[in-house]
Amino acid sequence: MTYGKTKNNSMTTKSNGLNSLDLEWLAFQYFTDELTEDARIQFENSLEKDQLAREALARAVELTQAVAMVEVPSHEAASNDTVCLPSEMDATQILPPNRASSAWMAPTAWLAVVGLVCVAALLYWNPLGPPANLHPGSQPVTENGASASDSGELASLWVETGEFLVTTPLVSEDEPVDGLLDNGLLDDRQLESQGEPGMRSEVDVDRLQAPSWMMAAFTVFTDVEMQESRHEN
Amino acid sequence: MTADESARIDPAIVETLLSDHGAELERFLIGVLRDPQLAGDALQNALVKMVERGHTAQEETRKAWLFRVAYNEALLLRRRQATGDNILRRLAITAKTQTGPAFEPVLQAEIVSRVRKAMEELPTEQRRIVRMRIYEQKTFKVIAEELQIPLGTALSRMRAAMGQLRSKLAEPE
Repeated sequence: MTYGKTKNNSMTTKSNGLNSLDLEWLAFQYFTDELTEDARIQFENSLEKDQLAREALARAVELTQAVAMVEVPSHEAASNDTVCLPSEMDATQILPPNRASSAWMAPTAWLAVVGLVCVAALLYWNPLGPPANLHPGSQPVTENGASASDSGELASLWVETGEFLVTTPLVSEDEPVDGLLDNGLLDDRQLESQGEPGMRSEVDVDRLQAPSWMMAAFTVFTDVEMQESRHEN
Repeated sequence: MTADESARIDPAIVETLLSDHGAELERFLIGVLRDPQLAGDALQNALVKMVERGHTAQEETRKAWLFRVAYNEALLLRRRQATGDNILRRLAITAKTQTGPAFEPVLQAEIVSRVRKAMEELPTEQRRIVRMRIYEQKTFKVIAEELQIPLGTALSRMRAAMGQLRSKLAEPE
């Protein structure tokens, strides 16, 4: 029996001359609808009589089904030539490789930042921390220009101000925190208006520049304090 | 017991046939009908015919007899009901939820695992064509155009890939 040419005119085979590989290929083409109408009819005639052709078709279905069910390897999913059946994909395949593990990283990163700020603050507050500068003329300078000793003073002042904030918030509930930062935490008028005149004389606040880590820490600190004071009210 | 009933084939024989060849028969029917649900219907009809008239088949040809009857049942069903052309997609989806003999979960998982390994061992150009044909369901003509290769090359690569995958599947573990 002549199977004729496929739709693609690429092969002409005869039933008598078919080896097993030819038969398997023909069965695959039949299953995937790649045969011409004539070739399809001829193959179906053989299916009616030839048990080998039937079994070849069963194997073609098994193989195609297995290939269709194989998931696309993740390292190749991003390339243009790999597409998974949409209904087959689950969420972990859709997500980029790093996306799946990033959910827990956000809180962890915040905790790490807060922890670093606390450690840095402790280093400045601890009397066993960095030794006092023995050479006043060669003070190390922080990245924003404030000297280390200035930062130490700022830290002390921040602690005292923080304690002060616990009992008497610097800002009202209606006043945004940003306004506090814009005006500067150590604004002289605020301190004096709260009845702490001595503090102004002990620290030359005007020449101090708050390092960025302290401003970040203070922002968190202020938020917490404001929330607590709200709860108390 | 009527004469017809006494002439029926022993149900145990049908059960053995189904156990031995049911999965293969179902795949064959899927190949003919391109629809797993219709294939299941055809299989049921064929088994009924086997019980009613299977005694007429010689023992050594019962398998071929069952396949032939099933094929005729499939053609009858196909004439009654038009089937869509999205067979690859439906096949993959159905296979994941099917509980019939052709889709024994453990066997299915093993086959998929072996095919996955075999796919990884295919040359890149062959693997690309397999994916384009089976996953993306593109015709060989479209594949050849997109890859800018002769149609015969696309076909020969696919054929070589399927042959290699088949041989890997046939290898004993």
